[in-house]
Amino acid sequence: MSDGNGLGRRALIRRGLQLAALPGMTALLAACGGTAAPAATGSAAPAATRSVGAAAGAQTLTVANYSEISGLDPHIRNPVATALVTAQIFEMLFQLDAQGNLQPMLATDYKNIDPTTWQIGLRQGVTFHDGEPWNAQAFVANIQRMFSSSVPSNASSVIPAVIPGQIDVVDDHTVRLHTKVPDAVLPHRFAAYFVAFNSPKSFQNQTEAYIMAHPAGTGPFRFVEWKKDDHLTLAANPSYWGGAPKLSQLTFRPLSDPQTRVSALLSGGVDLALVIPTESMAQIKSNPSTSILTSPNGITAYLLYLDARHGGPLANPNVRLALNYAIDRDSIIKQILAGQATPIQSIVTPQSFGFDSDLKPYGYQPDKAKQLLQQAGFGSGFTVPLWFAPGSSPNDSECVQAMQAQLAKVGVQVNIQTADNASLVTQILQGKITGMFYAGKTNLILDADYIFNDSSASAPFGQYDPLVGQEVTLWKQEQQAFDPTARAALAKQVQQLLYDAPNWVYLYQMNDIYGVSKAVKGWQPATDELLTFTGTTVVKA
Amino acid sequence: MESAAAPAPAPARARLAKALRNLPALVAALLLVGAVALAIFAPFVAPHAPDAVNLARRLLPPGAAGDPLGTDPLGRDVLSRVLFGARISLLVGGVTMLVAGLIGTCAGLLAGYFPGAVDDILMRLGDIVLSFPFLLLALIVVAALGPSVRNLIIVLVLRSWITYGRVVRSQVVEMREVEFVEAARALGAGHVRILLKHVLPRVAGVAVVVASFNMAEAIVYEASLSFLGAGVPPPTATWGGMLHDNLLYIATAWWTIVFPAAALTLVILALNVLGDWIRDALDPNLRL
Amino acid sequence: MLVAVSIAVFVVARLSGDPAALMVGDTGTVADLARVRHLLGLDRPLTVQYGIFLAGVLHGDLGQSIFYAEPALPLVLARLPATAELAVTALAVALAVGVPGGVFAALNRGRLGDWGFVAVAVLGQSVPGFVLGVLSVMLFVLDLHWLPAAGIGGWQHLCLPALTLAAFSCAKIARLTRTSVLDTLSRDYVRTAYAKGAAPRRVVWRHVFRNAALPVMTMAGLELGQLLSGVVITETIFGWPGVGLLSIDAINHRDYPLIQAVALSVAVIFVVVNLVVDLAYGFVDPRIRYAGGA
Repeated sequence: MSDGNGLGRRALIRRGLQLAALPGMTALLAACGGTAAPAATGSAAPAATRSVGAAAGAQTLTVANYSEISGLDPHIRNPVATALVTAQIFEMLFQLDAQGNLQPMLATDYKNIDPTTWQIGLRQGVTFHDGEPWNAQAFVANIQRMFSSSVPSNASSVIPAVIPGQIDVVDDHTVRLHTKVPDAVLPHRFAAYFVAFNSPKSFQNQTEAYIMAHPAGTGPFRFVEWKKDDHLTLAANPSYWGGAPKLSQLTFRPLSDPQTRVSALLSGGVDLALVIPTESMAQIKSNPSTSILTSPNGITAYLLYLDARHGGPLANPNVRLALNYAIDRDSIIKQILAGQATPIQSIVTPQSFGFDSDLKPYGYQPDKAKQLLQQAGFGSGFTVPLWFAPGSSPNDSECVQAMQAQLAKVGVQVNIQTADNASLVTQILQGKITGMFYAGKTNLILDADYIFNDSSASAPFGQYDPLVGQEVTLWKQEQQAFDPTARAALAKQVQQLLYDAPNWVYLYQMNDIYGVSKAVKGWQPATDELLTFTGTTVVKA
Repeated sequence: MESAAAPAPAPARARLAKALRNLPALVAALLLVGAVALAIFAPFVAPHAPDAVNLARRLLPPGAAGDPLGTDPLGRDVLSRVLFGARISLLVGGVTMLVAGLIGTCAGLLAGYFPGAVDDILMRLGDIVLSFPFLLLALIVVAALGPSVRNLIIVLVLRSWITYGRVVRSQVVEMREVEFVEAARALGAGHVRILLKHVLPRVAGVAVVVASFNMAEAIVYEASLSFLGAGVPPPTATWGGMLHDNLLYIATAWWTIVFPAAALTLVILALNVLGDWIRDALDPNLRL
Repeated sequence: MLVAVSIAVFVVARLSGDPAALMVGDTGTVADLARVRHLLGLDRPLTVQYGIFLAGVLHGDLGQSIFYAEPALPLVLARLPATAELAVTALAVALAVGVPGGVFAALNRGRLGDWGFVAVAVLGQSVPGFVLGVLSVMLFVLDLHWLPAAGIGGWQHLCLPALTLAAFSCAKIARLTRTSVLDTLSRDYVRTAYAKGAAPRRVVWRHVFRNAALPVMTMAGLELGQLLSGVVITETIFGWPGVGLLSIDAINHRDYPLIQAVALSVAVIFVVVNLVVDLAYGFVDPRIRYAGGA
């Protein structure tokens, strides 16, 4: 999405520049500054070395990921850190560009035949890494697996309206989908990384262990090996439909300690380090061989969730508005987040379809907040717990403590409660949290509709204070508005309602901060956090 | 030890040597008393509230007006946080020491005095605790109970009692056959009386030595658990928490790390010196 | 004993957090959660789940990791070499530095060298591993460029994690050695040896050191438990793919079978190592009954 030219992220790679897998050739390439254009060989990349340094083969790139991945089955257990790896292997029907516009990927076109029927043209001449063809049968097999009750998958929750048993195969590369209800957002939903396609040969009648060991997608890189907690190696897919990547090898190393990622980057052990703490930016910038790249993260909006189920102050609309005026977002962003964030006043991020840019920031108005609390009958304040999982997002502990201090100034006493991420997520899903909790709201398809759905009564994060009344009515209309302009307008109306009577305390959208070796050329961060390396080269001095 | 063995022929020099030998212990004791006093009176001594956030005054170096040791990333006074942090760190260490010491000493007395089933059960329980890496145990227990000062102490006690238990037990076993116990028994004293009046006083010294090391260990473990995300929740100041929270600032704001680290090291040094001294005074042959 | 470990871990691990919730994530529905819980067998009563686990153990099967979809025990065994490499090196370093250091301090009892040594040892015991790790990376990796920052590989990769891990044990062993040597020095046979005019160096090595070594050996065995605890932090800081990282992954994912497998494996190793130490002790010095210190 960083190409910014309206083309797909992977559509640019048509220069015939392909790379040698032969180590000697790559060394030569490095010496020539990577300008030669040798012919691709179809052979496997050299076996992954355990060496941290990428010095030997100039066309290998090593990424320091911020967490070990949860698995290699694209349909299950896939938090973003996992998707960063799996999205190199597996692809979706569509992808989104920087403007949130849909671009073709494994589908080439789509057509809405009637409100509940979609015809999708699948890309021709694409094969999975195991040689199986990408066609209508593969499509159907994947969709059915996502909906299978025997697979612990949540992929179907992204495309809930699809009727998996009624997919018409028009021809080898054309399918017709039927939906239970009209769903204008359907093509966008097929851009979610959950809805990725694996070779049916990998998963049909196979055990989960086999599936995990034999991932075969259609993406620019194919799986080589995974040494858990050490490294995961991918090799270029020389017959990638978008043109073979220039890198011969891509290695992910899980380094969960931020200081370690920084040290690994500074010492040349990795070429790209993800989620750099703001405190380390200056150090990386001042190093002659590394630099910092940032990009607004469009998929996550940070919020204080408010539990309105039990009445009390948090159920009072004036209190919730007051809380929004009582947080000094600008000073938190400037002082704690080193300016690497933007205040928000909507749950829809600016990078998403349907964002309402007319909403004015709440601003820091403690007096107004006190006045609103007075009107609500809480002039003398109240006490409320605030939950968060330390270390699950950048500077979370400091941000939460700053909010605690700011809320205390308007009389709201916050008790900070911590839990480890697993127990907090479990408690949130089970509806057990009372008071407030600090978390990001994730919008995988950069579409307002996704986030409205996530805020509905049936969604785990929505249950604490779901959309109601007019909000739901407008949202349902939006979902069925097949004209994009009309749909965006309806999405904006919902956001206006949620601005006037907020369900959350809107906080900020953070920038993703990457530390990059200067040897890495042709790589840009993307707003959906996914990494694209098809145009990337590594030029070691 | 030698001081007891060699009755002073040259009084002045020997007395000076003896005093010098005890000097470190004296300094250590004073330091600990001072630390406890500062912790107790932190609200009166500290220049600011430990959680007084002021983003406009963040990361000021030592010597800034009103903040003699500088400020942390949230603009809080480092001195105040070190002082209030002493409360939690010493509380965690102290309560762990007392509770684990009580449980462990009792267990050791019982196990040593009643060979057979009681001994077996208590010592096997201890083996179980020892056979599992402490930090993993702590992570699982804290994840289950939730991080708090109380739960931190529970975890530390769970681990520490067995150290007292083993040492006390081995002392009791040696003592069991000693004459005075036999004599007491012959005179018809009950088990409880024998344990409390005759055995306990003789093992108390050993337990005190273990306690000094145990407390030091507990304070360091608190810091390690902060690193693993299972520490005391913010904004409560603890030395371990400060070390972890400010670690990324070590290159740019050393004072946020060095002062809590110094406090931690001094207290542990004092505990160790004191422990060594008590041990030497009690029984130089004790291996701990 | 192993059964007790497994029950304790089994119950405590299940008190909070749910792997199904993590698999469903924030995008799934409440109905998805129930379905996944059922698929994983987590909706059955705890006693039934434990029965299934126990039945598996009797067949040498510790169950399958929920997240990695592989048998749990082989996953743990595959990590052991890396952790053993780290822990054994650390123990060797701790002994190599701690024992001579302790002897030196004891021989210089009460002098400056002794105090300086005790101070350094206490420093080693009081600086938490994560601080030491970060400081050593700053010095040796970022300033001096001598060593790589993270990962497993040649000896260069081993240096910093092993030293960081060794620090705590080293200090402890040094102090024990010091006490032990002081103890032996006061024994009659040593006094006799001195009285007979034996060279001090010879006395130290022939009589003192050998006798003082025994408690140190016992402690080294127990210290391994300490090291296996320390690797959790060291492996995280240095991205060292051993049992420590695996157990953190397992706890973070609430991967119950994997947590069990780690707990049982480590318990077995601890028991075996200490058995070996006991045997070795009797082998080295058959005449001494020992009442081990803690």
